[in-house]
Parts: sequence; structure tokens; C-alpha cells
Amino acid sequence: MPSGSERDATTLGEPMTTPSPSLVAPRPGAVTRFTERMVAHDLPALEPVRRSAAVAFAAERIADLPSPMALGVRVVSDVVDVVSRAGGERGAVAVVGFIARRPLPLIGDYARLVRSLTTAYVWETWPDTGPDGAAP
Amino acid sequence: MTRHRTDVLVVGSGAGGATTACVLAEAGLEVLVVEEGPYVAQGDVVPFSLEQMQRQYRSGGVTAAIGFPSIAYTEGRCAGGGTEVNSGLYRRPPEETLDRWRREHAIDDFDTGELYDICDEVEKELSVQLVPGAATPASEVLRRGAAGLGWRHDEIPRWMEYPDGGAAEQGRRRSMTETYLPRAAAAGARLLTDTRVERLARGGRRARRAEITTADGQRGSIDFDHVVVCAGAIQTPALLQRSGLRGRIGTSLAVHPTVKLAARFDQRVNIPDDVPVQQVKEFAPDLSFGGSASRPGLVALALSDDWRRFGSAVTDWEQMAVYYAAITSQGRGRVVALPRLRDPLVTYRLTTRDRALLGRGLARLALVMLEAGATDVYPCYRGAPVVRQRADLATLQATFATSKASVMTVHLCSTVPFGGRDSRSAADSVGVVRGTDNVRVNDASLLPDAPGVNPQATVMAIAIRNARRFAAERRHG
Repeated sequence: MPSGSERDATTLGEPMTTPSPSLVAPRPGAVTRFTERMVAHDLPALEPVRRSAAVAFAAERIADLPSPMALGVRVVSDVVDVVSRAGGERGAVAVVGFIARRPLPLIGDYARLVRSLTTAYVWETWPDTGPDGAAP
Repeated sequence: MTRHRTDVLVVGSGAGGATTACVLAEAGLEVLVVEEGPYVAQGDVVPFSLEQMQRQYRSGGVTAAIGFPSIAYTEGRCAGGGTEVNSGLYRRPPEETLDRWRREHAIDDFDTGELYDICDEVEKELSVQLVPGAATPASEVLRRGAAGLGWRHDEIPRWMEYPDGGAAEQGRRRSMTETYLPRAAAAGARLLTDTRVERLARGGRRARRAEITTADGQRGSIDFDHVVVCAGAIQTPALLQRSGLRGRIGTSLAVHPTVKLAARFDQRVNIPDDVPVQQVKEFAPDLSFGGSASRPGLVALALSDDWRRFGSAVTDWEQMAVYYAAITSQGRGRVVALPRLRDPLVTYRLTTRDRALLGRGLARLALVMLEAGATDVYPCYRGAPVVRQRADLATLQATFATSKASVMTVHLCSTVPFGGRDSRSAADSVGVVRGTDNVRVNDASLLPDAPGVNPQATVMAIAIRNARRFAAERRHG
């Protein structure tokens, strides 16, 4: 019979049910729209083909996030998407500009994630890109 | 539905799993190693590239411990685990750390001499050595800066093979796919890659079967007599929890949090495919400084915390390199497997002391850069000043806050700490999970806390020790 402290050290319980990986994936459309505007804000001179490639890369990585992170991104990206779409294209651009400049809790983490993925991709793929995204 | 059967199932093939498999197979046991990731041979991908992150890291390297701030971390997910993708830096476990673990965690028969004898073997097997030829310019920056300040610094040996007199970037890493995994295979061990263990089916204190899923979605199972879980400090506790084992498991995650900066010099310092081998240890074990991978994408990433002000520097990436300040943290984190989610929730909480130490560390690291001749230093946090002279360091310290910083770590451990203290140890002194008879852990999860040095040597020494105890037990039992 294990002692009380041994029982504390490890609890023997029932195994969990098989996970369902698809429950929490961020919606690709919401992520893509935000990422496109974020790249346009940060790297306005990036050529459309390169911009599309960078956005696709970020969206692919975000789709592969560990499930708890994916759940968080899904919630935040949905909120940002709804707010952005409410004001039309000009409103959406303004929302992204606001988020990009301010360290907001949670939303700021989402923006940082998107920016870090796109930035790393652009300079890893085209190292001679200018700071505004312009090709040499 | 594929079914396998083995005497010993080893889950994971990194520094813990590969050594465990090798010791047990060479002792004559039937061993099957299951690895969730693919087999990627050394040289097939460019080190530290996005392609490597995609193929050999979990979730493409985008993983984080949630907190304020969240701490980004990476996990290798491939045959050989983290040894295939890390910097290859090697430090023996400090004697005082081993003494403290033995004393505070009541680890039985935990002999420093035995562990150092194992380190001797490991160092021979992995060709642990200093760079025989020229160091990289980014490494020289650390040496020059520390020497100028009169601070302790040294070159960290690596598990690398070099041509005669070869320079740093000519090294070929002696990772697990080059060393212990082939040895295990030669002794009869089998390696099953692209296969994830979902959970262990138990009957009371004994686990008997692993439920598996292959990368293409096929389900199967593996029957075994013994299982050794070596899936790393995040996946090991997650698997145990999914299998119904909880209690202390996953409640004491320890890491070495780091903050970074990018430094620009007048001359080229960037070697994209390698990392510096110098470390500054003047303030160790609390604080240490070293160099990070600095591919152009990673330089841009380092500047992205304040892109509007720092972004223009990116065109000079060849004259820039990225450096880190790492701390020995007093904070702790958790790994929690959640129902219906594939991956565990990982959290980490920095203490007030940790936050202050990270700020102090970043300022001191910036000072090393200035001393080494940096013209501009870009600390990785929002609102950071560009440091160009010593007077700017006061602004750095005054404006730094971890909530604005990109904090990350690569050293994760202590989620199934071993020892003889019922109140603290999730596994016994040889890694048997408490409350079970045949479930063992043998990876970084066992370390009682973060050792303050690159932990791979510590992990390998302890894993070989424990595997030998297990093999001896099987021989006599």
C-alpha cells in the first residue's frame, strides 16, 4: 500500500480519450486577411508574389500550432477579423495599423507571431530585401 | 491496424532515448524505439534554416510556454531529437549541481565519479572537442568583448568532427543519428519513425501496450514488458498524463529563459550556418552570455520587435549577429495534457528576480558588444533604445520590461524530477515513475532543476547511468 505522500507524487487515473486535432484550428481566412494587411503595413514595397508567399508561409505555420496556442489564436484572430470587417477595407487597415503600433495583451502576441513569421520568411528567402520590402 | 511486440519500448530517440536504446540493446534486450518525427540524415538540410525548422522541429519551431510574457521554445521532432538541430555545445554537469541534487532530492547511489566516467565515454563517442582552427567572427566578438572587460569567458567544446585544423564552420555534428542510434541498431534495436505514441494502456501499476498513430493516420499498437519514455521535457509528461498518470508529473517545468539582441559591426561577422562557441561566464551560474544562430531571417526576426525603428538595419545583416543572455530561473512552469487536445498546454511564470536578472543580463551583454566594437546594438524588446555608447545602457535598463521582450528558451527540463523525496520526486532514483512498476522516464524531464549549463551532457550521463541500472536489474531479475 503506498504511503499518502507517494499517492501525492503520482496519481493513477483513467487515460484520456483520443485527441481530436481539428477542433481548434484557426480559421485560415481570418488569419490570411490579417497577415496580408500586416505585411502591407510593415513591408509596403514587397512585391505581390513575395507577399503572397510570405502570407502563405505564415498561414501554414499558424495552422500547425500546438493545439492550446491554436485555440488562443483562433479566438483572437476571429475577434480581430470581425472588428476589421465591420469598418470596410479602410477600417481594416486602420485596425491593423493600430495593433501593429501598440503592445496590446493577447492581440499583441498574435501580431508579434504573424510579424515574426513573415519577417523571418522574407529575409530567409530573399536576404537582400530592403527594410520596406523592396527588392534590390 | 499494425501491431508490434517488444521487450522494451523506448519512446523518443534524442539524447535520452538513443543512449537508452543503445545501452539496453547492447545488453541483449529486445528494443523498439518509436520516434514521432522523420529520419533526416545529417547534411540533408541547412542548419538553422526554415526548412530545418519545418522538417525537424515540432510545429515548425513555433511553440511557446504561455505566461506574462510567453516564452518561445523549440523542440526537436525527428530521429535524434534535439541533438540533430541544436548548437552542439557540450558542458559537463557542474560537480556542485550534482552534489546539490543528490542532497536535496535524495537521489540514491548518484555518484559524481561514475557520472564523470560516463561523460568520458560520451565525449569519446561524440568527438567532443574545441575548434581546431579559426573561430567564427561572431564567436570572436564574445571573446574580445569579455576579454576587454576582464570578464571570465571560454570556448565551449562541441560534439563535432573537424578536418585537420578545420575552422568552426567545417564541423560535422556527431548527433544521435551518427552515434548512439546506429550503435543501437547494430545491436539489434529497431527504429520506427513518423510514429506517435498517443497513450500507454495500463492495468494497475503496469503498462502493457502503447497506442500509436503513424504520420499518415494509421492506428496501431505495441505490446511491451517495459517502457522507457524519453520524449523530452514537454512530451514525456504529456504522454504520461494522457495515460492517466498525474500527481507531480508536469508540475515543475524548469528552463533557462533568455533575452536577445542584435549587434552591428563595421566588418562582416555573420556566418549563417553556424553559432558562436564562446560563452561569457563572469556572472555564472545566474547569468551567461552566448551567441545564437544568425541567418538573415533570424537577424530580421531579432529586429522585428521594433521594426519601424530597427528595420532599416536589416540590409546590413552580414555585419550583424544575434546574441543572448540566459539566466538560471527561479520560476517554474507546468505541462498539462488537456482532454480532446492533441498537444499539452505549457505555461511558465518568471519570478520578480528573474525579470530583473533578464534586464541586467541584457544590459551587460550590450556592454560586451560595445567593448567588442559594435557600432549599434538592438535589444529585442519594444521601445528599446539603439545602444551606441555606454551612456545608453542606463536607458536600456530603465526601459526594459519582460512584458515587452521576446523571451525564449531552448533548455527545457524537470517535468518528471527523480529522487527519493516522496513530496518532490515524480520518479525514483533510477527513473521509474512512482506508482508504476514498469514505466520509466529517461530524458531531460528527470533533472531536478535546470543545471545552469547546456544540459545535453547531463541528460546523456544520467540516461546511460539509469539504463545500465535497468539492464543489470533485468540480467539479475
